[in-house]
Amino acid sequence: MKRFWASVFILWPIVAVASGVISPTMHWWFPGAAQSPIGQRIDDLFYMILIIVTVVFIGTQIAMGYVLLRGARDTDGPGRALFTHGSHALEVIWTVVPSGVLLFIAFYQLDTWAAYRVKENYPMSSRLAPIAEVTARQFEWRIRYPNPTRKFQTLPEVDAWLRKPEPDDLYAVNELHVPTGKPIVIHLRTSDVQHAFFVPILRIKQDAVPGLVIPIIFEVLKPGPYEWVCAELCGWGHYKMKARVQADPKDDFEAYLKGLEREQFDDGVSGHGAKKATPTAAGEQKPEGVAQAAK
Amino acid sequence: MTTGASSPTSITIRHGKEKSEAPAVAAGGGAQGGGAPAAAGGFGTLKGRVIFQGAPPKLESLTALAETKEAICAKAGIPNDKLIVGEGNGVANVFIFLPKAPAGVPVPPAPSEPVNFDQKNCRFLPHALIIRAGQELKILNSDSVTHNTHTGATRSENYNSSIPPHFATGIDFKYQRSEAKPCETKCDIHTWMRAYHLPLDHPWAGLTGPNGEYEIKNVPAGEQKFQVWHEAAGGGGYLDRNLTVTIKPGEVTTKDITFDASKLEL
Amino acid sequence: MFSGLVSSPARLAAVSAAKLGLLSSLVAVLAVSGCGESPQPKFVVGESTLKLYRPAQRAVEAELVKDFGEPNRPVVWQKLPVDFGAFDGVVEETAQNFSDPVKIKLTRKADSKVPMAAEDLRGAGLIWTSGANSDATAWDQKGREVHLDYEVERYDPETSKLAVRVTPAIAGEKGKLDPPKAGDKFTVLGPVLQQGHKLYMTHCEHCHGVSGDGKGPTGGYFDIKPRDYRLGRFKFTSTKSNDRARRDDLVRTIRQGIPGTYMPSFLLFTDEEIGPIVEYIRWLAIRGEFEEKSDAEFANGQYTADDVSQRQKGGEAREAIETALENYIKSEYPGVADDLADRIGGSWTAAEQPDALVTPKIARTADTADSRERGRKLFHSDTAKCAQCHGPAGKGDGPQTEDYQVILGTNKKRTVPGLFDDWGNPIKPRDLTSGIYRGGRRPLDIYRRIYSGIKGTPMPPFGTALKDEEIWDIVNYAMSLPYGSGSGVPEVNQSKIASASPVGGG
Repeated sequence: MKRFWASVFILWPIVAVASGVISPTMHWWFPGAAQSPIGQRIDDLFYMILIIVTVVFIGTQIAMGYVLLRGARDTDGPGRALFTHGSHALEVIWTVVPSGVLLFIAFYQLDTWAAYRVKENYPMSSRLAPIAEVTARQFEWRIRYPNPTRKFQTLPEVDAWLRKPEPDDLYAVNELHVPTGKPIVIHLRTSDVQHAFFVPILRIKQDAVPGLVIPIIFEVLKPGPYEWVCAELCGWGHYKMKARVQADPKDDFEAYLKGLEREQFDDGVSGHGAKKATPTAAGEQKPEGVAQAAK
Repeated sequence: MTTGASSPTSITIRHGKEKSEAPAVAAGGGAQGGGAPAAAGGFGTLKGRVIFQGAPPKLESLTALAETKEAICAKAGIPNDKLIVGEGNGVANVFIFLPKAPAGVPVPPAPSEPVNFDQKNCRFLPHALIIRAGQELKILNSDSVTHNTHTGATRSENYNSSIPPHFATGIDFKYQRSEAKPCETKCDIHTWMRAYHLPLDHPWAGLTGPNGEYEIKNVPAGEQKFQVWHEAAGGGGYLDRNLTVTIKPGEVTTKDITFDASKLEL
Repeated sequence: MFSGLVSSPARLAAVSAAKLGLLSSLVAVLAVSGCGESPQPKFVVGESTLKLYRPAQRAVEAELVKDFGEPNRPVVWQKLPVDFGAFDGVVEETAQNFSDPVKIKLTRKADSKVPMAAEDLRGAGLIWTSGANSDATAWDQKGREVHLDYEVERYDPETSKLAVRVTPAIAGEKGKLDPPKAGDKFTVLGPVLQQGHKLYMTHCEHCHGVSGDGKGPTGGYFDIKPRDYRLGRFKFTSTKSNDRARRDDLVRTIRQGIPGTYMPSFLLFTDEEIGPIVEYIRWLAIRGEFEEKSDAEFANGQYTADDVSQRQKGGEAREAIETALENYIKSEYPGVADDLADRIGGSWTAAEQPDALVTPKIARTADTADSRERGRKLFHSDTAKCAQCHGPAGKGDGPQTEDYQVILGTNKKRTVPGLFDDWGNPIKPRDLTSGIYRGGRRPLDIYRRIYSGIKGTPMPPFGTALKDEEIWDIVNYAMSLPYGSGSGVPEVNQSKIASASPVGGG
């Protein structure tokens, strides 16, 4: 009977390891290889941790199996079990070694974390060329692109654009186009509750928090449509927030924005519509109505 | 509640009869009438007055309502047209009509000349009118402001569009089908503006004038059941659903209608 | 049965035996019956139908079931301008029995435009167009001729094998049903409607309701109500003021969503999904309109419950009213219903024609300060009267929003100030400084909002009152409003922007 229980406890880690080895071949694994450099770094970290825990897991299970089997054998014999009461040296070892491993992981991943999470580390060229502002709302993603002709010289200019839409901005919904091959920045906000921007294959996940505008940096390596979902339960229609990130080569991306502009300024006659509104003209305009209302 | 999504649907194909097999329907086929044809031979005239018994209630003028929005109209003053009581307590804008053409009487065709429907000083003019289905309603605007004429028929496609200021050309609109009772026309820009149109598929209807007098000519002789309708009356506007009058050929029948404040719903 | 005299252990044993018996019988019942039949979705009876006198109400309900069926048993009424989906089929082998699966070949009918793969055809209607079954007749036990309804029992797209079922199942006399022969032709009808139903119930029903009345389980919680299709009226269209919506308009609304409302974007729907959904919504809208117009016909004959009680008070005998009503239902209403379907269908067909489409006659005026100034003047003018509702600064707070309006058809005033739409919901004029455009932000969209108004709302059409140049000036002015001084899109605290970093977002 004891032998039975010992084998049950040994069988379990064997099954665990075996299923871990089989899983990738059964497609029970990640949603494909990461398509962004940051995603690859995150995967590397993941694999490193996976290797560490696998080694530790197998090691400890072998040790446990050994103890169980030996203990089982011993009880079959005439001898009595040996009782020990604590070992200071052992306690120190199995406290210091895991702490060392954890500290190593903590420091080893700092670079990756900082590259993704600290915006001061983003390349200045990307920060000055935000691709879009993405506003999550129940239950869709509204996207605002700066007009391709708009060039930001300083960060405050970018902030100003985030605070106030411009007449030549381009709008879209649920399909975010981004150029491939360079690190890009998008700004995430929400107009109601908390949502999360999640593109599994890029390994990008970021909460949208009411009142905050949060920059996200990533680079897409290969063109293609990528699944984009909300990863924060945001209400009854959470599941409806399924969208698409479409990564295009630079030229296609520019062509997409041109097409979007043509569509958005369509007047039904001239194809492209009239000249688009210029910011200066908007500045000149002071609605008289405001003065009237004040009277 | 949403279980229908899981169970498969089963389609039935409707094998309707060909249209020609369906019973033919007279335009505006109301459900009443039928019965014996009106006594053949002759037409008479029905006339009379609609009189309010007792002191008519004073209605608030709409000028104040308009003041903030349409100074031009407010200047001219906007009387409340809901209940107009003239000389001798005669009530204007009361519709007296046959709900359906009597069976067996040929219905004269709709007149070809249009009925004018104007908008002046932020009032519809006339406030009430009777029109034949298929007859042209010419919508005009004598004001210096734009109005939006929005009809409220239940059986015809409605008209809803803005009429520019000083628009004398007129827009031609037709009610395609008759209605059981007058339908409300409004202006979405000036929300106090209301008018009542009664499209009918026969000519036997009358509308009271400013002093409550009405006259319906060429009514088929015999016993006829008229309906009497006014916008300020309660119970759907009917003052009387069964005003039974016997019309004698070649003669003028007089029928006065009276009602009091208890009938009103203001 | 067990008195107190029974000894305690015996009693306990009896009780537990009873419990065990109960439990096992419950398990047995559940095993046999499953967890019970789930309730079938039903179309609700419209408000205007409920106002009719009972027999009239029943007649309308019966007509609706005949013409449109129930959600799970929809009827294909081919005279309606709805693309129900149609495949032409040819039998390629001769079967032994009528219900045997036979190899067939399907091609989509040319007049069925909605993209649709011939996959799940189970339950679709079927008409034999040639062969022995095309003119088969059957008689019931009393010798009356009965109509045979064929439907697809099974279809396997991989083997192209199709089995047909017939209702009513013809009892006993097998000879009446000829097995399909090679070369027999048939038409499969309704797969688009089925697919539309399935997708609608999954994605739309929980707000818009089974009947398209905007009263789905989640719909009730919104301050901006989901569209009730039953008036056949959609707000954001590309058609003239008195025209229905085009298919393209519905596709656009579903794909783009309606910003500022709870209607989200369903951009990721494929063409094979969105086509059937749009057809289903049009079918629901036509059904609703058909019901409403049928009710109007009965109301026209003075057969509302209220009318009938008033008529009785006025001296008419109830029997006389009922006989007349019965006559009308029998002899006239079928024709009226047929005619209604033609008229309503005609309206929906007309909306698809090119001349229903609102297209500006001239291109957008250059968006200059001059044009905006002209637009601003028009905005406040007596010609356009925009400020009346949209307010002097375009904030949607014009004097009209403070009025207590008269309820249409009555002499009573509302107890709540402001504007109401045709569905009776309170409605606010658009705040033009917000930068949110429900019907789309293209200049063309805003042109169309002005030209045709917004259907079902107090926003009037100005196509008859304003020239194209004037409309474009107003468009230019309105589109500049979000960017003017002292207006705009809700601003975000500057210090927060400066400090926000993903670190804070966690």
